Amino acid sequence: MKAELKQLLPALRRFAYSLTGSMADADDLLQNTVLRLLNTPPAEGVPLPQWAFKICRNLWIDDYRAQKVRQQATRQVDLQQENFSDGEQDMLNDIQLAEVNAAMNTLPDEQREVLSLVAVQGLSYQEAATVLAIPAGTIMSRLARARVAMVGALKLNGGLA
Amino acid sequence: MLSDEMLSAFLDAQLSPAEMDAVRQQLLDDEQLTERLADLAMVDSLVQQHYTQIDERPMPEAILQLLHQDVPKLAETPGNAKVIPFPLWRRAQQQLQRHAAAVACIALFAGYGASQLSGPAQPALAGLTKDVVQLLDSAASGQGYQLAQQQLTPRLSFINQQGDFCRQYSLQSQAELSENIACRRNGRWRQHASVNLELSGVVNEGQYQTASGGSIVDNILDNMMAGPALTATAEQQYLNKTNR
Repeated sequence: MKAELKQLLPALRRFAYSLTGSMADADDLLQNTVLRLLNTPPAEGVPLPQWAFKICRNLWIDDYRAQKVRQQATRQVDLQQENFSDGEQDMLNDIQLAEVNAAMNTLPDEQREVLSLVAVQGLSYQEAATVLAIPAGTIMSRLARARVAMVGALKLNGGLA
Repeated sequence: MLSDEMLSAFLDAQLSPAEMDAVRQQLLDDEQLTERLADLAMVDSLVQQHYTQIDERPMPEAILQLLHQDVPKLAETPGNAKVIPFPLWRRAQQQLQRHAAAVACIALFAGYGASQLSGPAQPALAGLTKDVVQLLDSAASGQGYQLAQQQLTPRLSFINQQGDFCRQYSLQSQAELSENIACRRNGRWRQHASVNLELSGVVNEGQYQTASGGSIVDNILDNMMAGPALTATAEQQYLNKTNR
């Protein structure tokens, strides 16, 4: 399982980052997720990625949200963007990227986690539904609301204004 | 007008084939609808771009170590462990394998009948010359130290089954690379293994062809090590003892 988990680490880390909004918190969450996974591996027949995302999400709900880590992350967003921009994106794109995390922070947790699973991880609705233990129809509606809210928060130009 | 929910699901190709066709048809006819779809798609693009930035940051070593050690209990903090998890040395070997070429010569010294330094430097294969011994007694693992004709890199330190302080180290010259294990008993270093590798062709910036040399040393380490490899701190304590 460790080899498979190692392969999964980058995706799990991106998921943790999209949930916490802070790279440092993401790595903490990832470490706790790995620890938990090593102690409670998936039951037979349960795919590791699905189990890993579920544990990561549950830890985020249980620990990180309660500790208001996300609020700290909101304040750190500008610094993070400055540190990790590759310098090749144009200014507009930089601004938008810097605003993404702030916009994500405005979403209800239920929408944020769905957007993270589908948009960042590329999970299907059914896969996301299994991770979150909710119906696929709920994924569809939450995801749509999350996207619309993000369009508004990011002030994208187009037909949704 | 299509609902945002339908458009969002269309973006993810999560509608039925008939619904997908219907949305496509409406997109052909309705420019505003196309703009809305573009906005939704832009959200995904920006979210992906933003959160994949973490890929540029190196994976924390503490997390990688978790996957190379026995399962730690949840109550423990990994950083508190006094020893580096046992399999850590395997990574050193993997790194070695990336740089080494065909095995040319293998010299193994079983037990304590090893080559031994006493007095003048010995010209033995990857021998325990004075300057090598001096570094084994003082140099921390993980970095290279330049000698006259070669570079010595201590890879790790450990305690063997007999309780002696041992070190694995590489010696590299322009033409050769050797991987060695030596242990110190009663103040004297004895060589227990030396795997000598010839570097085939060369080699720009360490781009040697791969070889199987490292795995041979792996087996020796497996048999010799009484426990995990020493941490940098523990290693330093042993080195300090030597130099007192």
